[in-house]
Parts: sequence; C-alpha cells; structure tokens
Amino acid sequence: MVLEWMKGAERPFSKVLIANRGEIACRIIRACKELGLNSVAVHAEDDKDSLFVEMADESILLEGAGLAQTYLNGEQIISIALKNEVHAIHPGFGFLSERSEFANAVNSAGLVWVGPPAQAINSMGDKMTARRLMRQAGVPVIPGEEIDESDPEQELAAIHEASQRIGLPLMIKASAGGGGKGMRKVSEFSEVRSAAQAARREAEAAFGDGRVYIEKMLTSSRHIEIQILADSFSNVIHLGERECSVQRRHQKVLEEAPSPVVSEALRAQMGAAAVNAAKAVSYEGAGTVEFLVTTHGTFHFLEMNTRIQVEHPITEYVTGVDLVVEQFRIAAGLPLNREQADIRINGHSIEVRIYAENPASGFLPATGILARWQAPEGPGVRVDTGVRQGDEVTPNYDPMLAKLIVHASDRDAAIRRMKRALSEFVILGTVTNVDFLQDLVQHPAFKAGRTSTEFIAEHWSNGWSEQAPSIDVVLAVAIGEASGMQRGSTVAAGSDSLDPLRHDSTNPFLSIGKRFP
Amino acid sequence: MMQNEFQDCNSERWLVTLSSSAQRFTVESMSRSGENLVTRIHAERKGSKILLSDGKIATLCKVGDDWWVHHSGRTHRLQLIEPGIDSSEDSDGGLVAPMPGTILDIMVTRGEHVSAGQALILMEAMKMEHKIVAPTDGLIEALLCSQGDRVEQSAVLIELSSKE
Repeated sequence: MVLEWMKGAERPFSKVLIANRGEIACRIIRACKELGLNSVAVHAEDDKDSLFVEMADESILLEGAGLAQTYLNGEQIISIALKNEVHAIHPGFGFLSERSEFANAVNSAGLVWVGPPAQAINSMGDKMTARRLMRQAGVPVIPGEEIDESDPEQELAAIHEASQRIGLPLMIKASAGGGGKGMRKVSEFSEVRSAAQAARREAEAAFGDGRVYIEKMLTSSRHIEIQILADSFSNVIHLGERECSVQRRHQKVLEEAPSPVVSEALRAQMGAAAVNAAKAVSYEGAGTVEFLVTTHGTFHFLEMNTRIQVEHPITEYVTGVDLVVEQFRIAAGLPLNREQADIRINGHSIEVRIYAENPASGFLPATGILARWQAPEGPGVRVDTGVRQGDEVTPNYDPMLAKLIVHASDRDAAIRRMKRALSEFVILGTVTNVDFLQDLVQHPAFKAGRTSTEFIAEHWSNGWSEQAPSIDVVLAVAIGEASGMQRGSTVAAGSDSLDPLRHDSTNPFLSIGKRFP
Repeated sequence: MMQNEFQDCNSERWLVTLSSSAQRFTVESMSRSGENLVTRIHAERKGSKILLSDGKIATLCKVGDDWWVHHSGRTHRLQLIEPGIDSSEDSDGGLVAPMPGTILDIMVTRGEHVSAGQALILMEAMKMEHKIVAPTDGLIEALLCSQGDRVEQSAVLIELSSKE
C-alpha cells in the first residue's frame, strides 16, 4: 500500500534504513515517523544502547569492529537492507553519504538512494573537478591552481611553483577533502613543503587519496552557504543562505540564517550561482553550495556538499521547509511542491554545536559520562541530539553531543534567546563548550554581526578560560560532599556502576545514574 | 562539623567547614589557598539541588572525585582533595596523551635535545591531528610509544628531563 503523500510517485517506498548513527540518525527517524515510513537503524556493537537504536522501529547489529567494518561497510549495510525488505537508504551526513560507489551499489541493488546521483557526488566530491566544472558554469571560484603531478617530488615542486604565483597566505587542500581534514594554511613559503606533506598525509589516511590543490587564502572572509533543493525534473530552487563564519580549525561552531551581511540583491545573486552549480552537475535532492564572501562583497565557490548538512535546522526554522522530508519526497520521484517565489525568510535562527571538548585546554576532545543532562526548552528552542542522561562519551565517534537551535523575530532577539537557552543547558560529568559558547554569543563583535572565519582565533588568541567558582558554588559542592555522598558511593565512569546508590532510596542523588529521567 | 577540601580550575584550594541542622547548612569557615573568606552564610539542600542564600539554585553531581556544578548558567568542576594525599607533586617530566588516540608520528629520538615549543609527537584523536610539544627545553630520556600505537588518555608517551 502506497502512503497517501507518495501517491503518483515514480519510486514509492515505505521502509527506510538509516545508514548513520547519533544525532542525525535520530533526526531522520523522526522525519520517517512523521511521514509514516518504517525506520531501520543499523548500529555497531558499542552503539547498542544508543538513543537512535531505541528510536527506530527496527534495529540491526552491524558485525565487526571499527568504522570500516561497521558504519562504512556499504556491502554489509546493503545486504541487511535486502534481507529486511528495506526499500530506501538514507545516509545522513559523513560516513557513506558522499561515497558515489555506495550510491551506485544502493541503486544497483534495486533500492532507492535518498541522495544525489553518484555522478553529482563524484563531480563535487573531487574538489579539483568541481573547481573546473564551476569555472565552466560561470560560477566564480577562489583564485588558485589544481596540482596534477602524481610523482611526490614533482608534486612538491609544482606546489612550490604554484604557491609563488598565487601568493601568501594560501591554503593547501586535499582534492578529496572536506570538513577541515587534509587542509593546511601557509603563511610563509618555507612552510609550503611541510604543509603539503601534512595535508597529503591526512588526506591519504582519511580518504585514500592524497592529491592537493592550492587556493589563495581570502583573509577575513565570511563562510556563507546556500541551501538548494533539486528534483528529478530539473527544477532547482534555493532556500537562502546560512552564515557559518564562526569556525575553529575549519570546524563550524555557530551558524545563523539569514546572514547579517547578505542583502536581498546578494542573496539573489548567490542563490542563482548556487542553482547554476547544482544544474551543472544534474543535481537531485538537498545540497549546499558553500561560498567565501570577501570584505568587498565578492563571493567565490568553495565547495558543494552533496548531502544534508549539520546546520540544516536553521534553514528549516527561517523557511518553514522540512529539508529531510523534502529529501524523501525527491527520492521518491515527486516534483518540488514550491517555486522560488514561495521561499521567504522569516525571522532569524542561530545554531550552536555542543561539543564534548575542553575550551580551556585548546579545545581538546573530552570523554566522560553524561551524569546529568538537562536540555533547554521553551519557545523557539530546538535541540537535536543523539544522547541522553547516563550515556558515555567515548573517543570512538565525533565529539558533537547536540545542536542547539533557536528562532526569533530578529537577530537580537535570537541572540538573547540563545543566551537564555545556553544558560539552561545542564551537562554534568563531561566537559563541554557550553560556557565558551555563552561568551561567544555575548561577544560585542558577534552581536554587531562582525564575524569572519578567524573570529575565534582573533578574539581568543590566548585561548579561553573558564570562570573561577564563586563562594556559592564552592558552598554547594561542600554541602553535596557533606550531606550524603559517602566515599565510594560515587558515580564511576564504568557502565555497570551507573546506579551505585540504588540501595539507598532516600538518597537525593539517585537520579544521576538513571538513564531515563 | 564537616570539613572538606576542594581544588578548582585555577588550582586554588578551598577549605570549607560546615555545620548543619536538617537540610540547612551554615559555613563556619571558608578559605581559598589559605586566605580566609566569609563565614555564616547559609544554604539549603533540596533533593539533588542546593538552594543558595542569594536565591539561586545549584545543580550538582559527583563523578569519581570530581564535583560538577551548574550555577547561574555556568558549569564548574571541583576536585575533592582526599585528606592525606598530596597532589602537589608535578608529573616528573612525563608528557602524557591529552586524550585517547593513535600515534601518527614521533618526530624525535631518544637522547635528542629539544627546545620549548618543539613538536615531539603527532597523534590523532576523534579524526583530528594534535601535536604534543615540549613544554620546556630538555633531553628526551625515553620514548614510551611507537608509531601506530593506540594510547589511552594520560598514558605517558615521552620522558623529558628539563635542563636547569
């Protein structure tokens, strides 16, 4: 029986396997539930108690250990799909989402791929190919050169020569790269060699492809990206921009929509360029075209992400379009049900990424137990997460714990709402960046909309320090210690000792070990 | 009367003496690294929260020896100092892994003289590269890991003796 909303679709389906984990798996499962689709989670052994596994209608264990044997094992995932009468596979982001051979294998197995055609992934995934295609399509790219030498020594020589032509500062980037990996900044010619080698080593380890290209570094530029939707009938629309300038080591930290510096006219120009970029690779589905916007207001193509983005919720808030639902509609072969003129930007939305990391010690990833987890609530607040109280944060996966997204009538109100929501977020037992984010959203330069990709490095050049505890904080701790927490009856970081106080039913600290508050 | 000592994020030592009557607690004395602070302030325990005299609420829990507190929108961690344990000794020249991960590269050899800030080890954790650098000038006494090793958090990777 075909679901009502899918009637007339060329490729109808009713059961979806989510080839991902954590927060984005939860997000996709929620969309499945709202659409009446059955959801199947696949998970590694160490994820058997994770939230997404519990949320899915069915969950199936991925045999093996380590990413290569589990979440990156396309063969095993497709075989699970076929054995369990799955009709479609949603890859989320990361993992297999931008691997064209997996997209091909899904299609060859007779399954629906909730993503763009393999050829579009290939063209955009290889950044050198993408730069060439964009030049042809008239989309402005960042000044730079692609390096085609295959011999390592000749490659280094070619990189050295190209760097002289491009000038400093510059970036050496892996052609297969993305997400900040395989990327090095060069400020002096003497650094070119070691930077190229480091970029290549990181790229080879992460992607098995060490080819690199060079781009002029556009300093003080902003990272602004355009969300697009494209159906199987060559209709392409854009849903405005997301400003993602606040980054640390090329990892986004805070995103907002709309951008404080994008005018109607610039939005229309960048939107048209993004639509052209998508058309140049016969794109289908949801995608994001990233641009660097210089202080002079010129914009340059950076790359296209051929998948749903981490920061998609801010676009959902300001446009009212559910992007994951649209991904499913497009995958089923339905035409877009909106035209460009229907897209309006309403209010302002901000997202921050809550990471398990220690901002006071160079943002090193942190591990621990989420002994207490109390997410903010209230009007205009959305929390997308894959964890809950009692979960353990391990080094096995990405340290992002949650995305906190707010929506309000204008930017100032959204900043106030974010400040309020962050101050409500209680995470105890694992160090996070929540306090740092509070300082960030209250920084005068951020409030004034003066952000660039160097924002954090510039304003916290000597690092960030946490606030020293007040007398009241120390008093609270002293009371906690004095009143009932006996030695030995503490929450250990192990798994079986999560509820060590259960024998003492009068103990008010009982709740810290419980999984479902 | 209950006395306990805690260490905060700036390595300040807080010594607190409390008296209590039912769920109400009074500070008899409080000092920070030897300096005497206020006394006779009160607070009340309400379940897993503490109601402070300023009307604000602290949410707290203990994991291992660490107390975690959320108060006025900020999170603090204070370590309980067990009586009789002197934790003031510095780790003796050992450079430890700041997090669990894999050793990608060792850039120095045993017996090598290194200078402060020099990169010694490249490791990868959570898919990002991190450099371990020499905190001071010194001599590499021992290398306790090899390329490709998976190491745990706080594992000693290198012994470095600093020059006087």
